[in-house]
Amino acid sequence: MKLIIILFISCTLAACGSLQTQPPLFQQLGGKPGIAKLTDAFIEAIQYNKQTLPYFLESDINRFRTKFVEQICMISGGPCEYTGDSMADVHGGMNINEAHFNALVNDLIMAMEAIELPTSTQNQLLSLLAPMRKDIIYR
Amino acid sequence: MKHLIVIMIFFICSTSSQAENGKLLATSGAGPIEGGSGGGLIPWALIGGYTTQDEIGFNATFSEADVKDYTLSSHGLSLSAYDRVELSFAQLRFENKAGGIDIKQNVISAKTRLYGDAVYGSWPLFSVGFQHKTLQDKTIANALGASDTQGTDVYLSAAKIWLNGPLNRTALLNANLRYSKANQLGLLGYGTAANDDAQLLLELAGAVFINRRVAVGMEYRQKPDNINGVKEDDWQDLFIAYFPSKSVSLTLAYLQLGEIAGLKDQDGYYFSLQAAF
Repeated sequence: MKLIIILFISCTLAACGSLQTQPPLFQQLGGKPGIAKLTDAFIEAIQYNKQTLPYFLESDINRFRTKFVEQICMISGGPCEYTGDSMADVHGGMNINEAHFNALVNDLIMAMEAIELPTSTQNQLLSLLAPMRKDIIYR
Repeated sequence: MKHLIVIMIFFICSTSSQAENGKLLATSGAGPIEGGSGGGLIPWALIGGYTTQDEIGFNATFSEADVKDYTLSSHGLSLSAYDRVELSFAQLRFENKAGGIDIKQNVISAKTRLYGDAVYGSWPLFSVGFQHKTLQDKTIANALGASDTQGTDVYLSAAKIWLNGPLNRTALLNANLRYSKANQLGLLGYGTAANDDAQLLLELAGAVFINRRVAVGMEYRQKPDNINGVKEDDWQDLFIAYFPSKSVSLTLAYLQLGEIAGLKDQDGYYFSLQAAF
């Protein structure tokens, strides 16, 4: 039990030490240029992944790039408005299962790692995107 | 030397693995001592490997605990199917450093996901499992008055992963309720004439992912205390796990196992290597 108590105390102290507020996620991502960089890295990761590539072969990559930048900019609190279709509409009929979805999340994680976004920034973005899963799989 | 060869084989297998595209990295846990998937000391609700709903995967685990007066090593294989079921076999070997104790035990276990998704669900992931254990060397269990040399534990397990947990780190909490009368994992048999009822035991694990590849955490395992005069303590550990890829995990832990078979303060280290192929 002693170990656990020591651990809890050190975790609490660590938590207190980092309570200073972080800048908004949009800024952590590097603003619009940073989001554009992330989007390019994401597209590259998708292209090198044989599980996700087939889903993008038919799509207009330039349109995807524009809409993805808009969407990330908006959900991260930036001065943008997403003008694309709803997630459910975009993914309707694509029959994306959990494996494909996870593969896509991995592409995004690889992209975030490639452009060296801090883990905390990555997690904030992932947690904003995670609720969209229900509109993406088994559509 | 034998262990070194096994580890090398694991790495060779892992470089050719096709298991890269299933679950999120590290959401299958590491290699627990009794086989299957979980932490070091307890199983977790997560199904091992990175299989999703239409895949089958295999895992091999090698673990070794080295505490003050004893060593406990384990070799295991597990199969996970469709992110639903996990079957595993492990052989444990418990020895004292002074000589005289050398106990082997086989563990056959199964775990199945009941409900939920640890990462994306609003509820935790719930799983149920059993571990059927058979002692190959029964002398010591019999000498200590154990009523049986084989037995079955059942457990209910719940796990939740927060992608963006405290300090913007991914965090995991797991809790198990185990129904067991095993004496020291069953290495010293099951129950005694005086204490022969299985009891409900609590097991907890918490982990925080510092980054995509390194997690730190702790585990707690409540234990029965059935043998009069030979005290058995609850177990706990602090661990660090490293996931260089989805195919391999390495776990290093500091163990506090308390009193085992009459010898107190069994602190020491745990090492585990798990490979998916």
